[in-house]
Amino acid sequence: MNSSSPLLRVGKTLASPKLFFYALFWLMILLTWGTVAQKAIGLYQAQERYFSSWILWLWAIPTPGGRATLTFITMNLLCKLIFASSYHPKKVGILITHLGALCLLGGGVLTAYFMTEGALVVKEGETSWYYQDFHEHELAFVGSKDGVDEVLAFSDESLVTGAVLKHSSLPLQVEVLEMANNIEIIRRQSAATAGEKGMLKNFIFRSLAINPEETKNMAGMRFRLKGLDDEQDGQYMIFEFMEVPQTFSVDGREVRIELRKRIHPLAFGIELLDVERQLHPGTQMPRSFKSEVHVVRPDGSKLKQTISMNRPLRTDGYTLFQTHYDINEKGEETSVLAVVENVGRLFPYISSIIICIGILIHLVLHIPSLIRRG
Amino acid sequence: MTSKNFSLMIGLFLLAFAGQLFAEKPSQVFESLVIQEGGRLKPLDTYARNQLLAVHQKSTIDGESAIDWLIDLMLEPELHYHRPEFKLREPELIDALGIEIKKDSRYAFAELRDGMSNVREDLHAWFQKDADSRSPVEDRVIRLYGLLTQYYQLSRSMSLFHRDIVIEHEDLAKDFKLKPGEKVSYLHFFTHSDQLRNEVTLLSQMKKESRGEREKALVELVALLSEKIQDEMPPQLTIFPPLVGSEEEWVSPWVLMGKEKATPLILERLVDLQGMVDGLKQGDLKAALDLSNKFKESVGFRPKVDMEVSNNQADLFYRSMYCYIFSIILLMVSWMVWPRGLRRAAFWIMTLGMVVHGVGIVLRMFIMGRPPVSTLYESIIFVGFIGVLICFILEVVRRNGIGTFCGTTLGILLHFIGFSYAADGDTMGMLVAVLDSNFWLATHVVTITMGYGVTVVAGIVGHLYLFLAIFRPGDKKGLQEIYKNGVGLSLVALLFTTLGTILGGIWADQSWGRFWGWDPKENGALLIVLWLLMLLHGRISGLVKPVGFAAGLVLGNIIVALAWFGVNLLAVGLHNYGFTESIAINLAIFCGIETLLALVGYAWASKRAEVNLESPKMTE
Amino acid sequence: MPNLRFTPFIFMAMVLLSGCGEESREYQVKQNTGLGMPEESSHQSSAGHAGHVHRPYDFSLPSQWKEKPSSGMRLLSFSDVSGELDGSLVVLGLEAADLESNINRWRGQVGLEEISKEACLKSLDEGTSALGSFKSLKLKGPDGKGILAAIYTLPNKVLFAKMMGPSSKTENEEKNFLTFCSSLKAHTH
Repeated sequence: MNSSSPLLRVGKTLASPKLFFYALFWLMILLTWGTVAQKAIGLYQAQERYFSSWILWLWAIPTPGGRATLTFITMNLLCKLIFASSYHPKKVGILITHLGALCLLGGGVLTAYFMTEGALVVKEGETSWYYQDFHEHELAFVGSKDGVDEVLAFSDESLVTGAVLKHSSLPLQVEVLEMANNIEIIRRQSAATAGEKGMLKNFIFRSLAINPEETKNMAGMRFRLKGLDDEQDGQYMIFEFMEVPQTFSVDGREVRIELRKRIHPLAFGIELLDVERQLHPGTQMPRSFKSEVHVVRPDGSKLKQTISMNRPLRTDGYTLFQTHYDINEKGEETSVLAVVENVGRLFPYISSIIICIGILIHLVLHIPSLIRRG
Repeated sequence: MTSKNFSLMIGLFLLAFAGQLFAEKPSQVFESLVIQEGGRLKPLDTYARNQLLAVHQKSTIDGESAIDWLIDLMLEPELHYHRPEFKLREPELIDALGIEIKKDSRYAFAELRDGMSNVREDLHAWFQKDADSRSPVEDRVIRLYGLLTQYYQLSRSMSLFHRDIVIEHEDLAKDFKLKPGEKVSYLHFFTHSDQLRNEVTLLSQMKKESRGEREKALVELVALLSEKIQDEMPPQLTIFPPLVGSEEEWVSPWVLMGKEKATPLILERLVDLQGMVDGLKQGDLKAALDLSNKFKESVGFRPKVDMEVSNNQADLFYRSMYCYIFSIILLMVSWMVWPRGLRRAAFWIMTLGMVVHGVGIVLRMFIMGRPPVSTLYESIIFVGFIGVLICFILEVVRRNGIGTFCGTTLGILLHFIGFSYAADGDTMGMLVAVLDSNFWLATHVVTITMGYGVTVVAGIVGHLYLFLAIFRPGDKKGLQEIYKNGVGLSLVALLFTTLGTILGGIWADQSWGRFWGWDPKENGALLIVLWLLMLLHGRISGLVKPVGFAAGLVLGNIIVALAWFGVNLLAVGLHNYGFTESIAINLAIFCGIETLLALVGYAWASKRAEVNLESPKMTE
Repeated sequence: MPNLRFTPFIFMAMVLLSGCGEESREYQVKQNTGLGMPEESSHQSSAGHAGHVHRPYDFSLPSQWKEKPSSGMRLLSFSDVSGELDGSLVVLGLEAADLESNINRWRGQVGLEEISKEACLKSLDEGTSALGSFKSLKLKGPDGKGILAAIYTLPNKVLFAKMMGPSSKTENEEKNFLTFCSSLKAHTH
């Protein structure tokens, strides 16, 4: 290749350690800021705003968010490795370290885009076949038959005010009139119009500030339904954790519409046989958590497993962790398992080994000259 | 220093340590009894220290050791209620209780209790409030209330052994196997509880008119005993292991009597305790000690309790700090007179301090059965040790006193911080479920605290570089050496902090399913890694010159301090009056000083460097 | 080697394009099995419903009353033998628990004027069922419309049972209605 080709020039510029220096500086500022902010707005919100974002708006000025900064650093590292690396034997430690860092960043990219995590809540004696995402919502159209829900779901990104949701398998369309991530329900003061049906006849909602504690947020939506029939078409209101779901009759079948955290179906069921929480004696401090479960397959076969703190269950590409325990007034015990699916899971392990080998080699090669007397 | 003088010094030190080991003391009767508290079994000695710390902010009071104080409190409670044992330094609190403020901040239980009754109405209302909506003063009053209750109940824990009941009536006394006028304790009536019950039943069936002197005396006796039970069964002194198999909670003497029927084993243990109390009160130490050994053997469950008592009493960390202090004094004198000899002596004293320091850590590990760094307190002690160790190595290689200077400074500073944390309570506490994993404690936590230690040592080297660059800018060789040391240390620091941070992520992945959660603690550790990376890449790219690099190392200390302590403050919030507030203030002062030193050092040293020739350029 | 040089730029392109996600998806998921009260468990209930086939309450309808097809928010629709009375069983969240507003709303539906809170509470009778106690009332409007209603306030929801129609019929069926209300209990397998 021509040594002054534009590609090479761009590549070499992008590989400069000075860029890394400035990027690191900015990243440190983001980190500090975001960490302090999470006291006020909660961990998840701080993460969304400072670390997972492309742009961080400082008043009206757009600045690179955490994701943008890390992408830039990855580019910088890639260019360094491809355009500006030295293969001198004394520098082999640095080379290996850089490769390890790239591996770590690569794993980070995979995790950022492909990881899903959520909670599987199951009572003793119950079997659950899905887990619910911690954060993402979905608008689900559900028809039930023989104990199986058939679902058409619209993902979080599409649930914005003004969006029109339709799908070939549904003879109706939903126009999102108002969507809010945290609402409170209040009784109507004014009378409902003819077009306002369902809960909207007596209630309305008001959007609230997002609660730093994720679990305390209740999302709500007001929408206009069109395409069914005169009696059912109209405006409706739904929200998370509705006691009585909003149902419609579609071509003779009953379909209910739910606003909920996204459901991830599993290819297996988790049957909770027993959950146990031990406390340190004489205190309220938890000492150990443990759930005895059956992993149930569609054909009915069951495999007994134990899930405890620091000892998760890995199966089918998922990892299930024991996170919470609950007991209600009736004495019914509930186990909450965190479920994670992450293709990028092994990258940190591999990269940490590589990075440490790299730094060690570098140290071994250079420490004598750095520490030796005069 | 001649070897004879040196051996003499060592000998003196050892004597000081050993001196305590051989005399028989009253405290030995109770100090190594096992008590279950905070989820673990510990010696009564540790428990006494923690209780005294809570009341008096120190683990000794007026020359008396904690265990002596505790036993005395339980045996002679009334005397203690009027002794000014509580140390309270918040004037708003004292004001709120309507008590006169004392100059020495010391108050007696009785006056505090009276003060509490002044605010009794308000207290009730404050209890109902949500914890967050209470004002700091209300919060403090409520906590003091809890402390006073704890103190009172503790003081009454052994009241069943007090010989303060007397039956004058001859017949009644005989029926209870006593001599009239003989002083006896409540326990005696527990051992004769069936008889007492019969007597009371008979009494209730008698008509009032037919009651005679004996019955009157019985009524008085029963009234006295009922009054004793008003002590509300103090639950604190949990020195009796569970008698029923699966229950794991230990019980106190009063609770034991309330729960169980008088089986021979229970009676025997209670009677032994009575004997120990009697022995102490009458000065018959030997009898008391014999019974104490018998009691301990009967109860069993002695998980390294004796070792813990010795460890408490050896106060190894204090002694190690004294060594460091002595060493730095010697070093400073060596700058004026007899340089070589005193410098060597200083080095060896520091080494002794380091060994004692290390032994202390190993003992803790052994007693708790965990790796050395599982709490913030332990991390302080551990980083101190690592820092001194690195400086030890540095001194061995360089032999110019710098290592000794840095090591002793670091050792003294961190011990000092550690003591203020130790004053907060039991430093050997249990861990929450998620932290209780020896493998990760050994790998991640140890690695990252080592990283902190090395970074701080690098920070000290940075200080040294700036100092030298300001006052001896002509010493090119010296500057270059120190610079090289700094770079080397920063690389080692990078290794440990990076490895430690990644291990932390792997631990999180294993426990909760996500490698990185942008959690404050994780972010703090990452900040140190990023800072080190920044300095190193700044150096490589030419943006950062040696003076800048040195200043950067100094600023690294601030980042370590914030990641280490600041993160905890963020979580707890400054709402926690008192202790955390003082940490926050000290942290702010430390950061302020370091920033000032870094900036001033940088500016001044750069100026001096300009005047001299161009600074040394490092090649890799 | 030449091909490798494009890697960084390909990487950038991929990252930037990744913004496009899917809008909708179809899937099947099995419902929770094993326990009887999907509503009683925590927020999982929002996916655990199975439509009107899987009712959380059991009851016994008086003889000659009939069940009707139900829709919307009604758990159950029924009527008396004549078909003139419209009965329903509805569950709402606790926000609907205010007795005064419910009673006055029903009064309005039969043409009666609103009354004060104390009067509302006075007009209620108490009854019990396996599901818990309930408050019941009977209303008769000036133009011949009547309502029989019962309100169950449960730990985290409110259950309404109601029958509405000609007041002559509501008078007749009062006893049957109360019997029906008392028969309500939690569904068991």
